[in-house]
Amino acid sequence: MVNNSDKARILKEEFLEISRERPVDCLQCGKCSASCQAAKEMDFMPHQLVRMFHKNQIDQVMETDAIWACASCFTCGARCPRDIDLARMMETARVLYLRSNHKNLIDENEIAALNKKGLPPQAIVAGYRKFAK
Amino acid sequence: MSKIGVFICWCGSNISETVDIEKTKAALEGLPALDYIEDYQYLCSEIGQKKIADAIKNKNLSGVVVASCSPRMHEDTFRNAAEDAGLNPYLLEIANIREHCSWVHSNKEKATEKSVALIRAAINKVKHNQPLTPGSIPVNKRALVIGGGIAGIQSAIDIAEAGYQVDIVERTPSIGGKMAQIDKTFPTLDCSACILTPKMVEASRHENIKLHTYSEVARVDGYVGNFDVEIKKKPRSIDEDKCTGCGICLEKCPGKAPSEFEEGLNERNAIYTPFPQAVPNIPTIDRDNCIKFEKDKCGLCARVCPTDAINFNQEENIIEEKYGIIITATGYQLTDPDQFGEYHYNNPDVITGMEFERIINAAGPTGGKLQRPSNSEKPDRVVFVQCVGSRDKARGHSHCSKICCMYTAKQAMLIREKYPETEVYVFYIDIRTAGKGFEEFQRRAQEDYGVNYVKGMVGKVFPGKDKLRVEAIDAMTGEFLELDSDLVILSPAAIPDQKAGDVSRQLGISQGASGFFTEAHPKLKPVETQTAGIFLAGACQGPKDIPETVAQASGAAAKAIGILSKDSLVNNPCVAEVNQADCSSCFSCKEVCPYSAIEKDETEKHGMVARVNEALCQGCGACTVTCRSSTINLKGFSNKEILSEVDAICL
Amino acid sequence: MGYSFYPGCTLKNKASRLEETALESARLLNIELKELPEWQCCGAVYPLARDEIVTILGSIRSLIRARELDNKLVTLCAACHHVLKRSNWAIKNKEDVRDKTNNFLQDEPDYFGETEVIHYLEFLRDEIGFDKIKTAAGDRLEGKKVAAYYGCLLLRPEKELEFDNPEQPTIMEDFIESLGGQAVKYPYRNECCGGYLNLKNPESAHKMGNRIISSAIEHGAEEIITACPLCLYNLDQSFLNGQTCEKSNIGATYFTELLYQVLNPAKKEVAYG
Repeated sequence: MVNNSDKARILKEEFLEISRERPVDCLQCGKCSASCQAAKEMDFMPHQLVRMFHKNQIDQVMETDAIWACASCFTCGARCPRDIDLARMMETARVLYLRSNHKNLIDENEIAALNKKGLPPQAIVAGYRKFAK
Repeated sequence: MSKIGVFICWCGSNISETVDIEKTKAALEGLPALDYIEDYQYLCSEIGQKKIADAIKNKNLSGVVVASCSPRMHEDTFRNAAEDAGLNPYLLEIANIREHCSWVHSNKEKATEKSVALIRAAINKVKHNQPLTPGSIPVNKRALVIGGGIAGIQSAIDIAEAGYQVDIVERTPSIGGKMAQIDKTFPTLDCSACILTPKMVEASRHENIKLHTYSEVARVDGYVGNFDVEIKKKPRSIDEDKCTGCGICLEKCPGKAPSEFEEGLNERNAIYTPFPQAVPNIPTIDRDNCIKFEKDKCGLCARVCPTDAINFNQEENIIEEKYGIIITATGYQLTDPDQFGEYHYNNPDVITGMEFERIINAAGPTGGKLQRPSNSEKPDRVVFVQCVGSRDKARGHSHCSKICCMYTAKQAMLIREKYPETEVYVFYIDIRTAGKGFEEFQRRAQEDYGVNYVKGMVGKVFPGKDKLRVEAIDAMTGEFLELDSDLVILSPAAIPDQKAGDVSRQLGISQGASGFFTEAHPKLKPVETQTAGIFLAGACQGPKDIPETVAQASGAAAKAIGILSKDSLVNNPCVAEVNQADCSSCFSCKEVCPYSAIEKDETEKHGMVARVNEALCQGCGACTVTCRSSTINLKGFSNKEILSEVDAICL
Repeated sequence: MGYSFYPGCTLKNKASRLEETALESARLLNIELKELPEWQCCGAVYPLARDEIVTILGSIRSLIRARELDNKLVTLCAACHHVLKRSNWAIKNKEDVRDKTNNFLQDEPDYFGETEVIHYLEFLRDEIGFDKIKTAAGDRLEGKKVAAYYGCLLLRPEKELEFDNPEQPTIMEDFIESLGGQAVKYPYRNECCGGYLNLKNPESAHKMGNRIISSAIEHGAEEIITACPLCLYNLDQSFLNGQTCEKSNIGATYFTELLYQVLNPAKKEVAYG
C-alpha cells in the first residue's frame, strides 16, 4: 500500500526534513477540507493530500493543481484535532516541485502588468515567493 | 549460625538466556553461611515452591534468597511458601536478576557477574533480617460513597444489602446524577427516569443507607478501616425534619435563576427542587438568587409553609463520621464547546447532547417538543457533530469519550421517529459501538430510520439571519456539503466532574490524563486505587455508559465488602521503629512524616521521645533518613541490612 | 522603552492611506510613531519550509534595528505583522533557527528575540487604551454598523501570534465600539479572502471575497474595515466582480481611516499619496 520504492522513500525523507510534520498522525476526519475556503477549487481535497503524503505518494501530490490553489491561510492547521500543520505540508510539496523542476509558475515579465492592475506590492512579492524559486 | 538457602530461577529463558546459571552457582559456592543452592526453570510454579518449602524443612534453613523476577511479581508467592514451611516470611529476600539484570543487559559475561553481586547482596541482607509479625488494624464497618448518581446509588445498595451501613454524600440537592436528566437510554430506549427512580427510592428507603444531599466532603484523614471524614452539609434553609414535601413554597417564589437540571434552557425559582422525582423531596433555597438573602425582602415561602419548615438562619453544618472504606462515584461532565469557536456554540440553536435530552424529554422545558431555542419553531434539518473536543490533541482531550456515538444514534432515531419529515445528518470521524447490541442499534439508525451518516467533520457553522449554514465534507466521496440547518447538536468530550480535583486531593488519589481517577492497575484492578480502602465506581474513572457503570459500581461494592466483612486487617509490618534509648527528642522525624504517624511519647525511662504509630505508618522511610542519630529504623530495611548489601557489592 | 513604527513596502506604495491615517491618528492621540530607520522588506510571506533561513533574515535585521533603539516594534500591515512576529517566535523558540540565523548574520550582533512586536490594534488597546479613544471619539460615528474583517494573518497560528481568539476574536469589535460604532459580528470575519491567489486565479479569490461580503451584508453591516492591504484589494475586487453587492452601498476601508475620520474634528482631508 505504501510506496516503498527507493525514489519514493528518498522523496519522503526530503518531505519530512522540510516540513517536520507527521502525516501518520492524521485521523482522516476531513475537518481541514471542510474548513478550507479554497478547497472547492482543488482537484484533491486537503485531507486526501495528507493521505497521499503518508503513503509516500509525494510525487503525485507535486503534480496536483490543489497545492497551487492553497492560499496559506492556516485555517486547516488551526482546526486540526491532531495539531498537524497542513500549511507546512502544502508548502513542502510546492517547494519540492519548484526546486526539482527548475520551472517557475510566475515570470518577472508579469510584474509590470500586475502592478498596473493595482495589486499591492505585498501580493506581488508573496506571489514571487510562493510561485517561483 | 545462619543457614541460608539460595534458589535461582531460570524463568524459562528470560533469565537463563543472559545469565549463566551454572557460573553463578559456582561463584557462590563456598560463601560462609550459604548452606544450600538449587536452580529450577520456574520457581513460581507449584513444583518450584515445593522445592523451597522442602529445603527449608529438610535443611533447617534460617533464611532464604530467591534469585528471580521482580519482588512485585512473586515476593508474596515465595513468602507464603516459606511461611507454610514454618519460616517467618520476612526472612526471605528476592534478588531481582531479571528486571534488574537479564532484561536490561545483553553482555552475558557482565550480566552473570552482576547477578552474582545481586545475590551476594541479598544473602548479606537476609543474614541480618529479623523475623517480623504483621499487626492488625480494626475495621469500621461503615462505608462512604461520594457521589449520588447511578454509580454511587448502585454501590450503596449492594453494600447495604450485604448488611453494612452506607452514607451517600451528594453535592446537588438530589441524588440521581446524569441519568435523571437523560430522556431515553441506549440500546433499549427505556425511559431513563423510569428505570432510575426505583433505585433512587430504594436508596432513600433502605435502612442501611443514609443520604447527605446538598453536602460535600470537607476533609478526609486516616487509612483503610479507619477513615475520619468531615462532611459539610450546606444550608438548604429548610428544616428537613419539618418539611413534608408538599411543594406550596415552590409555587410563589419570585426569585429566578437558570435551571441547572434543564441545562440553562429555562429558569427555576430560588426555592426549588431540581426535578419532580427528586430524592429527598425537600426543597433547597439558592441563597445567591433569593430576594430574602439579597435584599431582606419577600420571605413568601416562609409565610405559606404549613409546617413552618423554612429557616433562613440555618447555617452550614460540619459533621464528623468514621468509615472503613470510601468509594468515589463523582461522575463526569461535558466539556465547554466555547473552546471550539468555529461551532458557534454562542448561537442559541447550537446545543450540546445533554441540552437535546432536556428538549426531547416530555418533562423538559418544551414539553418534549423538538423546537429551535431561537424561535421555538420545528427544525426541518438537524445536524449532529461528533467528537467535539474528543480525540483532540490540539485544543481538547486526546481520549475518546466512548458514549457519544451511541447517544447520538439514539437521539437521531428519536427525532426521526417523532418527526419523519425532519432531515437528520450525523458527521463523524469513526463510529464506535463496542457494547452488547450496540452495533445493531446504530445500524438501525442508518438502515431503518434514514439518518444520514457522513464520514467527515464539520469545518464551521456559519449562523445566518435564520438558518445555520454548516460547511462539511463527505470524506469518502470527496464532496463538499453546505447544509442550511435549523439545529446543530454537538457531542462534547466527557471529562471528570468539576469537583474531581478537590476529591483527589482530599483522598490522596491520583488523577491521570484529562483528570480521571487512576486505577491501581488498568487491567487487573479497575476499581481499586493505589490507596488501600478507596475504590472507584463509574465515570469518574473514565468515560463509560450506564451498563458498565452499574457493573463497575457493583465491583467496587464487592471489593468494599471484602474489607468490611473483616473485623480487622493485617497491616504491613515493615514500619518504622524508634530505639527510644537513643532518641535525642529532636522530633525531626515527626515533622517529615507524611502520614502523621509519629507521636511524642512521655516515657518514664527516657523522657519525652518519639514513637511510631504502627497502624498509620506506611513504611516510606522518610524519618529514617531525617533522623540524625540513626535511632529510627525501618523494620525489614534497617540501616544495618541495607549497608550489608552495599558491602557485599562493593567489598 | 518607546515605539518604532515598521511600515513595510506596501504602505509606502499602494497602501499609503493606511500609513498616513495611522500616523495622523497617533498624533491626535498625542503619540509620535517614528519610523524605524533602516527597515527592510519583511518578505510578505513567512517561509514555511523548515530549511529556509535566508528568507527571514530581512525581518531579523529589522528586529535588530529595533532592539538597538530599545523600542517595541509597531506594525500596521497584517502581513508584515505575521512575518515579523513569527520570525521572532522562531528565534525565541527554535534553537536551530536561532543558531543558523546568528551564524548567517555575522555582521550583526547575535539576536535572541528580545524585540517585542505589536500590531497597531494591540498598541491602541494596550498602550493607549480603548477608553481613552472612546473619550476622544465622542459620538461621531452615531452607532454606524461597522463589520470588522480580520483576515487570516493576524489570527493564525494562535500559538505564535497570540493576537486574539482565532475563531471568536473581539479586538476589532471592541475597537469599533470605542469609536462609537455598532460592531457587527458575522461568521466570515475570520475566513480567508484569497490572499495572493489573486495573482494566478482571480476567480477563486473573487468567490472567497464574495462570501465574506455577503455574510457581512446579511448581518446588517454598513461598512467593512480591515487591516491588511491585500485583504482590502481582494474585497474591492470582489465588489467589482460580485453579484451580491449591487444593491447595497457598503464599502471597505482601512480601520485607521475610520479612526482618523472619528478623531479628526476639522474633517481635514489627508493628502493621499
